[in-house]
Amino acid sequence: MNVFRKSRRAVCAALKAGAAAPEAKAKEHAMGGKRRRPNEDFQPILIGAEAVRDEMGAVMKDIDWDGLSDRIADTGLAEKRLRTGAARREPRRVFPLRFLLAGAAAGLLIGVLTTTLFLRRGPSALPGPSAFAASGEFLQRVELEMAKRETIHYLEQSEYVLLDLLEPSAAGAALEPAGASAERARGLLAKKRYFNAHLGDVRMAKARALCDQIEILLLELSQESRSFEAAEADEIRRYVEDKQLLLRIRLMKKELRVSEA
Amino acid sequence: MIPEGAAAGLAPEVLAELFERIRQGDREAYLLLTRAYQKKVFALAYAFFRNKEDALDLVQETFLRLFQKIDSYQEGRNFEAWLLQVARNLCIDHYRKNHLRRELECATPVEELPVAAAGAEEAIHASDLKDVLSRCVERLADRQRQIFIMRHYNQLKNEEIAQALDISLGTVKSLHFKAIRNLRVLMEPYMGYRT
Repeated sequence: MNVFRKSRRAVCAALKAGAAAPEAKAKEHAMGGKRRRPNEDFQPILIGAEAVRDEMGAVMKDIDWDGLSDRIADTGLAEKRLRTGAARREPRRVFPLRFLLAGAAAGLLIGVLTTTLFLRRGPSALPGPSAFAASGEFLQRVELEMAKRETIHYLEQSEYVLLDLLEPSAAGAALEPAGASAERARGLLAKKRYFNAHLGDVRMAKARALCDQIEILLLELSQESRSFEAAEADEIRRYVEDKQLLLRIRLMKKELRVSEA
Repeated sequence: MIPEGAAAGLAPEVLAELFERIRQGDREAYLLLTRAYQKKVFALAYAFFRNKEDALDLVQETFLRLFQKIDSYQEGRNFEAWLLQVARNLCIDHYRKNHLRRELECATPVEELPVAAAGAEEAIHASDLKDVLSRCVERLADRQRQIFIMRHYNQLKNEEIAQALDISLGTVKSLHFKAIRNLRVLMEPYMGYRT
């Protein structure tokens, strides 16, 4: 803008001075005669560009354009045919083959991984007998031991009941089963029913016979509602003594403990 | 000048029909489309490479790419701009791949071109000027070079360049101005004047 104003002032000054100088000359004067016309700088570029265009035109005259377009069209069509053919073949061959290859690769990978894991851990890693697996013989032994323990406990408890029954002070007196004794008798009967199934083993046959005889007695004693006459009480005591229940109980306990050890 | 014999752009309805026939594999349609635009593509490629063989290869490559991607052409878009954009991208790829080779093969590197004495009055010879300009254009930044080539060698209007490069008119003008300014600086030693 300043340059424009400056040059305009110069033109006006020149006109006032009466000089018939052209505007360009006035501008040149205003710029001190150093500035070139704008086009002057671009001229070589424009000339050079024109020369390139001339060269391009000359080159293009020598080209067989029809031949070029023929080649392009033929190549384009050939490529299209190739693409179409490949696209038609793809669904029938390539995709199933891909799936097959993917499946085979996955199978191979799983196999390799499994083998590697097995070999790394060694044979000890093979699933051994689990904590819940046991042989039949072992289970029978466990069952027998449990039956022995239950029987020993049963016999001990029964012994206490019988000892109460055979107290020397009680001899010749009527038998008044206390609530506690009846309760104990019922508890023992329930226990007998629970481990009765365990007494089926041949090795427990003797113990079972004894337990059955005690059970009969306990059944009588568990009748809380009735009291026994002196005669009946004596009969019960005689039964205990005749059967030598206390002695047999002690012997049986000892025998079971020995075999248990 | 745009290359002699370069056909004018085809009308949109004609193009649509040609595309349809090309999709069906009609050889005549391939030929018509190629003949209509091959010279414009060649001019662009030649301006980039200044080499006839490279430019011819690029014309072929551009049209083959066009036939492959014809389904992706959005109807209503300026086809010529789209085609030139495809050609331009291929030119850039080709240029980057082969720039070093051409630099080595060039008979007269820019450094060896005659340098005018400062203040020399006589103009540099036109053929030398062409070489100097071409070598200096190669030194421009990618986008400045593209715009200069399209504007001065292919004689496209700024609007057409903006469309082809998918940039604004203002950007085209700005890049063109920068290209000219840089060319003046680059050519200065060979012209015998100071900017």
